[in-house]
Amino acid sequence: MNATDDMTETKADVGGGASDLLRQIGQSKLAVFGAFILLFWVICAAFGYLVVPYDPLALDPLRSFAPPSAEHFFGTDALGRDVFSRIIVGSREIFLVAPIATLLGVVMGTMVGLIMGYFRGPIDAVLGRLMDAVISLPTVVVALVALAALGPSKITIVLVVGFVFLPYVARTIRTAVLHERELEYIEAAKIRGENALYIMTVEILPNVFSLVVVEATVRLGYAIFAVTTLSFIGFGIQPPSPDWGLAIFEGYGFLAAGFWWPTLFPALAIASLVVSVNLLADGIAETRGE
Amino acid sequence: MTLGKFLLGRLGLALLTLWLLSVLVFLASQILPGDVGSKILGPTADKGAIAALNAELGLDRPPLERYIDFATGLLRGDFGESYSQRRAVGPLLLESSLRSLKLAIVAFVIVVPLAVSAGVFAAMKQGRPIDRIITTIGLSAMVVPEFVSGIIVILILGLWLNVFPISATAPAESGLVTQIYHLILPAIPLVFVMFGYIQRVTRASTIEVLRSDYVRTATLKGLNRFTVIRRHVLRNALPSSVTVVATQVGYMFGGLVVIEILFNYKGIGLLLFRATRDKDFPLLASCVMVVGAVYLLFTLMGDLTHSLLNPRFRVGGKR
Repeated sequence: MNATDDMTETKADVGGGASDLLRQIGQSKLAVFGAFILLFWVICAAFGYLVVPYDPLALDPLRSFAPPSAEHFFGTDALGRDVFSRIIVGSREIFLVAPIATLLGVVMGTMVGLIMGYFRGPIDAVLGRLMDAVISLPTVVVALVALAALGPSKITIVLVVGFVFLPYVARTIRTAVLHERELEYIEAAKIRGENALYIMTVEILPNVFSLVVVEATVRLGYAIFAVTTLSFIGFGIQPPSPDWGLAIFEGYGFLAAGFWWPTLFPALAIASLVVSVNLLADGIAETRGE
Repeated sequence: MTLGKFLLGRLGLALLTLWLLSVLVFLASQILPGDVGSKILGPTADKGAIAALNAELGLDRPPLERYIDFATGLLRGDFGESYSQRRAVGPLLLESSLRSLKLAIVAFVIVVPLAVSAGVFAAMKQGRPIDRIITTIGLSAMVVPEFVSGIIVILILGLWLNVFPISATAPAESGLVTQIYHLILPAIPLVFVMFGYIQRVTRASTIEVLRSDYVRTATLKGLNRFTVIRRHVLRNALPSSVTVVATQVGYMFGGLVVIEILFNYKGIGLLLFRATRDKDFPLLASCVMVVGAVYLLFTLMGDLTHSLLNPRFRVGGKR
């Protein structure tokens, strides 16, 4: 696939709505599989509290570390809480924090990318260097600095993840805008006397929008990666909230003692969620690309 | 453009980026926290004690003066003193970095041959089921957080099958082989995350090369498949893999933090984590600068190797 194909594809996509996208995703079996798992966890997060066999927060000190059984499908944790119930509702905070962080990063990144690509020259060079500086640090490292300075909170996590995503989104959008700005419709708009803001938002943005969508789905996978990782290192969602990363943080010290169930089941839940989002994102990227 | 000029340009950009990074890190670790003294001593601490601590740490001076101190300190290799450990940051950083380096080397020695051969193999079987399987596995392994795969390998390989020790630190005075043996389990999650990237880039560049005229010529003139791969395909496809491997070195730090916490391995990741927990801002700032500098260094080395391996690139020609 070369750059020219890429762009014509982008244009052709503008006409298609959400139903078109769904139909295209439907062609990839793996993407459909991913979508179903994702849907399962979203339903669990939304309605899980209504159907779980136990109160996810209820302590039962007499039954700590009960192994999996018919009574407690996934056993109980150190405090005697039902692991199965806590897993069913344990994705709530992830589905709140990760999409907001993704949205923030994609919106800011798209704006910066539009500015860099449209104006080029010194603005592009200065912003580009700043982006490079941010990209040289892994998300977890940026998060640690921010958390030390601002203290752990959901807002800090949203800001950190959004901030880290900004340069990646901006770079992708910038490349597409560099190509778009040379096309005739931009020339026409300039001759009509439109201002830069109008050209960027009304003329260019719709033509790079499918790229923004792909970027958002890919980034959502990484946002879940980052949010669960921060919970695991104890800087994310705080106890006693039922959360997968937090459950692993609280439980992994007991692995060597033989109590694997409070840790393994949340680990598998996280793995299934990130893989499902990734399969879906890959499917969406593929319908655009090939 | 000559190779020298190209690399000088890259070096200049890297130094500029490093300087910007030092400003960002200074702002985040020294200015953003506001009153550092009260952050360390807690909100209930005595006002006088907070002021005394701030004065002792030199935090009552103007920000610009503090930045100049911080930056010149970095240049001289003087990283200041850690609040929490009450010792110089420099040696602490050095011994931790060496431990992380050992873990990183073990991970790379496993992942590079594995991912490159998987990438070449997938490219040769392009479009067949085996290609789909390798690529999907690579893509999925890439997005599973290190602590999740870490838990799974600790359980299966460490505790249930008992193949590898679950402690990353070998007993004191152990030989190199024992040390490496202890590092295999922690290296596996890092391998998973990097495998996908390296495999995918190798696959893409191999496919591009396989479609080229010179490979067709080589095949048509009757060279056997192995010779074509070794002499023509690998030589042209590997430069892209080298570049991606170099950028992975930087990204691996994120994984190192998590893995070192999970395995309680005293490398730079665990140091960074403890600095955050203890609000030890000088230690935190130095750790972050090291991480950023190592990333930029490896990106630079990636550019260098890439241009040495690919002659067209170094004369500035378009591929």
